[in-house]
Amino acid sequence: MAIAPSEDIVRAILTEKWDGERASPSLFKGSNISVSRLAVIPLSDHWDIFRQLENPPERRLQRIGEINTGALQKIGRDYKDPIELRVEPKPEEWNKAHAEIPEKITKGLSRKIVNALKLHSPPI
Amino acid sequence: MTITIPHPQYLIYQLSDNLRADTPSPGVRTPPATESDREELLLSKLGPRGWGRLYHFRYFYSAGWGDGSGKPMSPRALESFYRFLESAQFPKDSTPSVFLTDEGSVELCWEDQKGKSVEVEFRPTDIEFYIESRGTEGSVPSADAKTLAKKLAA
Repeated sequence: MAIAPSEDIVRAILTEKWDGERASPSLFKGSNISVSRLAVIPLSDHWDIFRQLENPPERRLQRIGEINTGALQKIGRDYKDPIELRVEPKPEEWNKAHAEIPEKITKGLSRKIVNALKLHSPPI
Repeated sequence: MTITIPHPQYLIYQLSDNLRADTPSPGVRTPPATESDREELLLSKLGPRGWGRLYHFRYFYSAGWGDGSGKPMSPRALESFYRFLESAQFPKDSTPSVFLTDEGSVELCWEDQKGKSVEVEFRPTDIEFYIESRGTEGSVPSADAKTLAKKLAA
């Protein structure tokens, strides 16, 4: 069952997808894209959760990208090749808030989603 | 760098007419680019940040990076990336960003003169692109890297 459009979701942005100025346009490209639900775990706790994805020293968590699920779905519907995007809960051992976007997202659509992200920097 | 080999004044052996059409043109031969040529190319087109990131991806992202399924940078993708760069022209105020995808492709993105996004992803056998100003996305074979670079520069 898909999560409500009112929920906010986040995605980890690691070194290979962030060069200090831009996020990779392909951040959301593909199928079964992993995201995480802020309704289950607050943003402040996501830093420690996403740091489990790091491979130090070369691969670090650089940013967290946030978007509202309803806004994500609107971007999908408004795209030139409209698509109904869903966010499905997929809790995992390492992250109880884990969820996935099952639909296949193209490079162009991914770019639109990346443009709409609210970027969070790591807490100092 | 291009080396010009002196053209012989005369040919000792002459090919018959039916074979001559298929012979390679004598005179200019382009040697394969050396590592230092490529480093210069990267620095001139992408700046120190892009050069450093590509180096980082090549030497620190081995098979299984990330969640265990990350692929190392594809050598064939890298070859088409270099060929593209040789002909690419970027706006002066937009230094391209370099990214590595989970599939081992190299991704390049920058803004055109109107501030619209241009994205090119170099995969092992083809090149995927997205041009925001035209609202187009598609792919071309890797062999067309230079042609694509010239089109995007136009």
